[in-house]
Amino acid sequence: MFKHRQQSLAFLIFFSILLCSFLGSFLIGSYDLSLKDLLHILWRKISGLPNNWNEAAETVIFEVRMPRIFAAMGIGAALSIAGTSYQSMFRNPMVSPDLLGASAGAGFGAALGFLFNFDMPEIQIMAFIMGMAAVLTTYLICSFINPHRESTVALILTGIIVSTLFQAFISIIKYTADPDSRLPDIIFWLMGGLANVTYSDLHFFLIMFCLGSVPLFMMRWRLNALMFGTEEALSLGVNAASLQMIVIICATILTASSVAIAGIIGWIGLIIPHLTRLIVGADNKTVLISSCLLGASFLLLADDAARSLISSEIPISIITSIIGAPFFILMLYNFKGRLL
Amino acid sequence: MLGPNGVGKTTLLKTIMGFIKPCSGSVLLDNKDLSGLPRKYTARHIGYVPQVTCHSFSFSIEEVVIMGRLPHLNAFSQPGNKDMLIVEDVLKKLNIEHMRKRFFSNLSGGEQQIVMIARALVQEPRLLIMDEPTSNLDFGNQIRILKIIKQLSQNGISILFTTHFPDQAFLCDAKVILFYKNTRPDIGDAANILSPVNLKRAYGIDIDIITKKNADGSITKTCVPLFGV
Repeated sequence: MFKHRQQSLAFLIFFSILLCSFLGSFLIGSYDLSLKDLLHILWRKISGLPNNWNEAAETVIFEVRMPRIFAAMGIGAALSIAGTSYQSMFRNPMVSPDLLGASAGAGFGAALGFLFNFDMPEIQIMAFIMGMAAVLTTYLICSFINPHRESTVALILTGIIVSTLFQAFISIIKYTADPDSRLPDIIFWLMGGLANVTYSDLHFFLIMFCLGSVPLFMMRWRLNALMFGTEEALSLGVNAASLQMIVIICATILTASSVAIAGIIGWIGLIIPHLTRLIVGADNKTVLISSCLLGASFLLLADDAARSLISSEIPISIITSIIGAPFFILMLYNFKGRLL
Repeated sequence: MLGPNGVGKTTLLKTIMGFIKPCSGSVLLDNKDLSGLPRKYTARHIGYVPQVTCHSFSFSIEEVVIMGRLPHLNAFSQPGNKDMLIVEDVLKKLNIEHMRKRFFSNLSGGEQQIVMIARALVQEPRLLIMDEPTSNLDFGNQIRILKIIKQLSQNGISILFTTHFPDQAFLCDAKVILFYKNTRPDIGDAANILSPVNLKRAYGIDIDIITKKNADGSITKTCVPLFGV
């Protein structure tokens, strides 16, 4: 409503970036595809016309590249939304979505699944459940040691403890896993990757994405109140405890489901919200949507790099960190006046 | 509210605001126990101006002030035109509409304090509670805030604030609650309560009260600590 035009312009630019990365990502890979063919095939698919002049191209688009592209966008968006919400709630721009143990828990669940030789869907469900369980553990321990929850510091510390604990469990599993078969699987999975994402994974993820992101989107302006601390939120008529609870549940669903289908992907949930705020300011009315669009574009481009830079697949966490770190430093330098 | 450090002024404010539960007794709003009322309801009647702390996020002044509309909107809605007009009105009243686009974190302490008052006023409260509104401010800004406080109270808003300067009670011509370390507080008009004897009981130092006649015939009272040699 204030600076309405600027806000619309920002959304338009972010959306264009996403659309370009979306189309561009179809063209990257060992099978050569022209933009004209791509648009032609996509248009025929959307309009329901039969397409039988190039089956190979169609297979590459819809079976090989499409699920991966959607997964990258979805996970990028999910982690950015979770990160933005957590940074608002904890009033700390250095917080990331794995703060309360969601990633470590999900990693442990998946590692356990690999150890017992489960199938992929079972491993994903294990990961999701353990991610949720880890955050629940954090929450319960915290309400036990700090029942009145005067500040969120106790929650952060408990989250660090629980994360460390689950990291240790992962290490135990790595130590005991068969180094010829199980161990490489676990290690590669933990480094994150979108190579094996299928449409059925996407169905599961889409449901979780909606469950986690819709409430946060609807209450995004309200999240601002938490950024001024619990007491000020209360004085503004916001029931801080229940809003915090909603944020934790939603962010955990988003993070755990992301880790469940793609392993642990670092950096996105930390830098994208931060980057977005440097561009559009702190108001979550704008930040949440912008970070969602930027996060989707960022992970999509990172995944393009992961699958095309060298002949074999690069784990995506390596890419996000290598692109992310210098990019972040540049942003901090350019916007130093508006920092902290 | 006046009294020595650690006597519980801020604790009382926080209890009134419902941030902490009273050990005994209750806080009533229109004869209803505050702890049983929804937050949204109390926030439409009581505005809170916190001590200014630094924030690590860059909100513009407008974005901070409009958050005062939170108690008037439901959980999923966002501020609309009507809310913006109220913000507009308050910004004008407090003379800060020219800096609406500036970042809150870049303001001086005095400006930040005025913005916090603006946010509370946008809640359209009957009662304003302020925790040491003049601490950390330079002398000029202290008086500026005090003028705003006096003006608001003349416009019909009740204001309860804590301060370390008894002079401010004289300047605002206010009712005073004077806290002592071990006995019950005294409540009454500044002129009656703030005597050298009571101030010595409260602060433990010798204080004289000087009356000064101004050019326009009004009277200003001020406290002077007796420093000795």
